[in-house]
Amino acid sequence: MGVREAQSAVGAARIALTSSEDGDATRALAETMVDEAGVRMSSASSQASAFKPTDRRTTAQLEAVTQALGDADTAIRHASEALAGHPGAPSIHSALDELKQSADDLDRLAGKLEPPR
Amino acid sequence: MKKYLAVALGILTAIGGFVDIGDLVTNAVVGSRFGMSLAWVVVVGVGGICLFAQMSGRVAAISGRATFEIIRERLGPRAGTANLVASVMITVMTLTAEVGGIALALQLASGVQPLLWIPVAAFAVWLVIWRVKFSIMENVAGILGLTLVVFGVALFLLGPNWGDLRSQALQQTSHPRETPLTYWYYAIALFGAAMTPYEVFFFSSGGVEEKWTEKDLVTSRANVMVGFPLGGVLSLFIAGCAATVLLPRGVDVDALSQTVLPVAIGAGKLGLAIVILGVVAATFGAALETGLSAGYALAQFNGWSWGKFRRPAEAARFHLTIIVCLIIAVLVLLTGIDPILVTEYSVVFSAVALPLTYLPILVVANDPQYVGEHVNGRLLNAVSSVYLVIILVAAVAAIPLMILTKAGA
Repeated sequence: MGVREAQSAVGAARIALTSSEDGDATRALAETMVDEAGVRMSSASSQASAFKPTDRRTTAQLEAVTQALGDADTAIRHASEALAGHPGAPSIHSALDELKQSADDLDRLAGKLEPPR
Repeated sequence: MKKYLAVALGILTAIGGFVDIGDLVTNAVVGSRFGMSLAWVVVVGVGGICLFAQMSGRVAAISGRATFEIIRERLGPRAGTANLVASVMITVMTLTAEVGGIALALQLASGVQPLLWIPVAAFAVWLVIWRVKFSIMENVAGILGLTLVVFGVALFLLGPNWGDLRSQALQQTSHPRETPLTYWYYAIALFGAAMTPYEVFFFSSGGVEEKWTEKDLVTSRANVMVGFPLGGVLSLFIAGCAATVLLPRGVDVDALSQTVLPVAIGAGKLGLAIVILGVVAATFGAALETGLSAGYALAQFNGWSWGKFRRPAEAARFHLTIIVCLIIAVLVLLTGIDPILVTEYSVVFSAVALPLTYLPILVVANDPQYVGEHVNGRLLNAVSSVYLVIILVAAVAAIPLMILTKAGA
């Protein structure tokens, strides 16, 4: 349902932001990685949209997944804005917190879902 | 002394030239998803490419003829044409992946979108093929590709748990997020990345370009038997970096940026600059080789005049083929297709097409009419036969596994 892709995208965005903050990676590399994570989130969302629930349980699961993917997408967008440093953009620190929260939510959700593949 | 220097240069070039976009991407993908569990495939693949290149190099040196002249002669025009079409398609697919790889690497250096770099990269590839001498082209790309050793430096600086990496490689630890089918799909992809057919077309045609004779057999063997395995070690470093940094964080590699990030984390911005240089050199060098290989294959098969040792006007159709292949690569990439996706498919299809060229070379390497007294020995034939079985199994299993795993998704 796209959860694994979202976990991977959020994980990549977190490492990109952290390594840019630590001075290991260049801003260009971090921005590229976060942009790519955004593209991957779109693919994860498409996968979730394509999923057809068959009963009440899978409908509830899909709702939870859609919610978590939406949050992850927002967290990655905020990470992108933080890196770009636009006026009013969240700080790198708060973008990282948001990504961590999203990663924890996705991990919890993945644990509840059926084995991924 | 001059001879030793030539051997050393050849080995260094073989190491630096071993890694291309297929190795960069596939090793990183595998490292991020399976840790070092598929390291054994790199060992098997490197053994196979050594064997294959050694045989085709010997055939080129003794008979003075390259792979596709022999394929046409041995298989006849009909079977030979099917072989040619499949081989050229895979080579053009690989060329597309390499040109895309150059553009992605330049994006990492500049922040400029890869779509803008694609025509520039393809033009530069054409210009070098057109203007630069074969030996200079081969040596410069190979030596610059050696900078990918920075993956090894970064791995040491990252300070991984070596025991963990060793147990992943030797004890085949479980992968709760993966299935056995994806494991085997990526095993074939990794095998295809190590044993890409174009490497052999290039190696044997290069032998003819450089006018190898029986005297050059030792040099050619040293290049293959020392250079390629050390190139394989580079592949393992790439997988090791991904296994150390990305696997624990659940990041499945799907971009070149993720392949180089562990180097930045381990070796800082200097390491990042070096690895980007290495990736540009490796993909650029491989783009030169694949572009030339497409030209070699078509020209040798059709009996056209070919080679960089001739002036372009004397090998017009050979050069035209290269230009057309580069244009196709650019047009495909300008559709917006992800070069990493092209790479992933190209390594799998390389595994599918491998028997088409391996088998004729194996037959010819046993034919005294072509290689005189230098036919394969018993031991070499035994090992070659084992590899033939592996290659056939991989070729047959590749497409079904691709369908069943949705290309490893």
